[in-house]
Amino acid sequence: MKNDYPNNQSQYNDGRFSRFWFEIIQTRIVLISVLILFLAIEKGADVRLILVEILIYALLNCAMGFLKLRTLRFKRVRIIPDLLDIAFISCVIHATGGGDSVWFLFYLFPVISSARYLGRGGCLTLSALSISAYWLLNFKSGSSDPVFFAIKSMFLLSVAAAAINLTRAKRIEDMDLLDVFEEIDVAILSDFEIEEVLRLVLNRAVLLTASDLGQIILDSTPKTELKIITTGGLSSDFAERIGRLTANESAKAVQLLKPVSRNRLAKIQHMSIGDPGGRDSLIPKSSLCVPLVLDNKAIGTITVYSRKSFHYAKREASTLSSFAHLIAIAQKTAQLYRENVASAHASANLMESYQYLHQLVLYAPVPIIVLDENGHTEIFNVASQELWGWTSDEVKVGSVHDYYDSHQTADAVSKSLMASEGNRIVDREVMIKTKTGDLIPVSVSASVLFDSEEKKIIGSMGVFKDLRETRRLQQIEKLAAIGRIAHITGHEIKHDIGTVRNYIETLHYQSPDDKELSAIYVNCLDALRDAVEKLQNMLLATKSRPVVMDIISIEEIFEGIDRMQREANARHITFSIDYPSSIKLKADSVQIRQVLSNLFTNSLAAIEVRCRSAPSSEPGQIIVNAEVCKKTLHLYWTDNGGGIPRESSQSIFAPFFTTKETGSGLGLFISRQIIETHGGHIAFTSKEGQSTRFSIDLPIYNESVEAEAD
Amino acid sequence: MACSLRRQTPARTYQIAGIELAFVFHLLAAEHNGSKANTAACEQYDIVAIRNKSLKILIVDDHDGFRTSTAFKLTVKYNALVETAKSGQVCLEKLNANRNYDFIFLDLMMPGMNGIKTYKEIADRGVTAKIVCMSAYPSSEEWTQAQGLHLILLGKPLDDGKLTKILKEAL
Repeated sequence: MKNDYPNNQSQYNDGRFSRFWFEIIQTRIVLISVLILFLAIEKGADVRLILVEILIYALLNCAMGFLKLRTLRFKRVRIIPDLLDIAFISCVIHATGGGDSVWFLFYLFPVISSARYLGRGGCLTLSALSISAYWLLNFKSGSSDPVFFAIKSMFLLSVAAAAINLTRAKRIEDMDLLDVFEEIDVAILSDFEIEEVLRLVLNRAVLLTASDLGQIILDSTPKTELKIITTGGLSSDFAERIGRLTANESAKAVQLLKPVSRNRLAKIQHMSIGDPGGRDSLIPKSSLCVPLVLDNKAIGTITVYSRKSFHYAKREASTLSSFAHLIAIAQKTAQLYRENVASAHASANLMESYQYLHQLVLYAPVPIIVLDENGHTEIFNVASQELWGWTSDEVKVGSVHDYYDSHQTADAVSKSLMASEGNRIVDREVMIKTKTGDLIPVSVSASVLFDSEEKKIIGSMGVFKDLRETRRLQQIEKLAAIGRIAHITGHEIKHDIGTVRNYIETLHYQSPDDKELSAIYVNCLDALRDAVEKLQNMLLATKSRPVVMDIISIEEIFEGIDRMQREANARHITFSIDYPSSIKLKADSVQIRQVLSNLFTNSLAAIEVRCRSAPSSEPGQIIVNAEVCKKTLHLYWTDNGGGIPRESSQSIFAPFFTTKETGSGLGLFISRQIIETHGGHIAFTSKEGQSTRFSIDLPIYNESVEAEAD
Repeated sequence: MACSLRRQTPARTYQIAGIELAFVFHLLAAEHNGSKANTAACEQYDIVAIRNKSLKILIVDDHDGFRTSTAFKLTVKYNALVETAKSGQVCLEKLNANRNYDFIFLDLMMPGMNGIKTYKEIADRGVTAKIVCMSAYPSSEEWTQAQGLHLILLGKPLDDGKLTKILKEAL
């Protein structure tokens, strides 16, 4: 059991004559006045001495007033006034001759007064001291009756005990109050369920004011709905009836912002609450209503009711007021909490939408750069980072000029942006410079950013488009278009070549004797044939010519041999050809002739290259021979044109592969396509520096087999 | 070892009561030369035979130069009686007037009525002439259609060897 006042700071004020001291002084003044009274009656006392003692005592007490409160808090310090009392009383008793029982009663003063603030220990100590002092005095004077003395001591002790007990109750009461407050404080701080807190407060209030019923009415604006909490677990119906009981009082309390109590309710309304005829129904006789004040405005009332009339006094009113303050605090806290939460939500929403928009720009599929009003880069999104190669941090320290290929470009862009209608430019083609120094053609669309009132410029943004891809596609389109034109033109040209050929052939036919003229015609026809072949090569590169298969004799393949012979003769190259006769093939003679023509052209070129680099070497030689093996015609084309170098041997059949300056690179590619379309095979062997031999295999057409198949 | 090939110059033809001396000369020469001469000689023989026949040919082509030159060739080299038509329409008109042709050379790619359509019209009229299709576009849809209809096809510019062979079949 504690016997000190914990934390009762609010009741005391530091630094001046405290209430505590005032209390002491009051009791001491009583003591002094009673003493003087006795002195007046008593005879045989040394009055002058006693008066002097009284004076000293009074002075000493006054001196104690200057003690700071803080010093007085110490238990041991508090005992000083009481010790002083005992000393004083002993001196007085001594001065009066002592022994008289009446003077003994004066010891009650320190004992009883100390019981209030010293507790059990202190009080008993003082009692003991008083008894021993008294005994000493008696002993000195000699007239001591032990039994009587014992009775007197017992009396003193019992009074002390009684005082202790009485004050204890109050102390406990005070402590209870503090405990309750502590409980409520904790609830407010930790539990934001305002209704729970209010319920707790109401229950404690009812308890501590020794009431039977309590009610809180909260006027929660803007809703006009009242929140009513009632003790006793009564239904809302009862609650309303209870509320109506003290409607006037509540209104008055709210108006005055002061507690209002009514002590004779029964006179106004004879009303019972509770189960009619059932349980013990509660008829409240007195009520106390305290307004709940928040920001100088009444937000509700707390009312307590009691069965007894005249139950509520100022003390209860002040207790209830404390509770009312607590409720107000709870409400305020709840309100603040709600506001805080709402604000946090709004803030979070704002943050979220900001972040969302930021991410939107950051991860947009096109490069976007956002500048602030001073031209510094605010946002450099991911696509921009990929385009330029800078990271977001690197560009923050640079300037917008670094993005373009030159300062002039940057200035031109910004100038046109400012000068344009609506401060907007669309698809302006510029060159940008990447981190690695590459220049890339882009098209930029930019606009100026204004604040929401459209008065102040807050920045600008630019959206870029890499034109390399566009340009490449445009290039491809152009090439495709050219290809289409070439295709059509190529085919159309055949008409004109055909026309010329028709005439020349006819003329050639008409002039067999004139050798000179004949030769001229032959040259013309050769040139035309070359032209057609070049055309065929070009057209084949884009589209493959479907084969017109025919059953032909082997001789038809070699119809172009004459021309080759002439060519070879002109260059002093020996050209020999040998093939078995009466072989039939299923082939397109025109295409096979083209293959041979290609081989011939290649051989000529190879021989020429060799002869040019080594003029004294052996003369060129082309040998063509064919043989039949099983069901295949093997045709071999050999030339001594220096062979095919090893590094080229992989790719000679690839399209657009040529070692000649003016070659299409398509000859062997098309040749292979033709042979393979015929179901044949073309390959080569080469001795580097010496000769090359191409071997073509073609299936032979067997009449009997076909007949059988049918 | 090189064996030389002597080009056989086409001999001027003499029309002597249907017998062409050139053929005789060529045959003699061919005995001494290789099979190549044989082919050439054969061709010459074929041409002679064709000339004898005086085939009636109708050429249908929208390209003026090609049409005219082909007509010229057929007339001079093959001694044919050639008529020309600029388009499918003209061709049909000519057929209405006289449907007695041995060959009809049809260009496949013509504006308006193309070769295939013309062929179908001709076929409807029950013409007995042999239809030969010509085209510079061997990869076109018309070419494939013609192949599907089993028509004789010639690529442009015309290959004389094939031309001779085709004309020979009329004999």
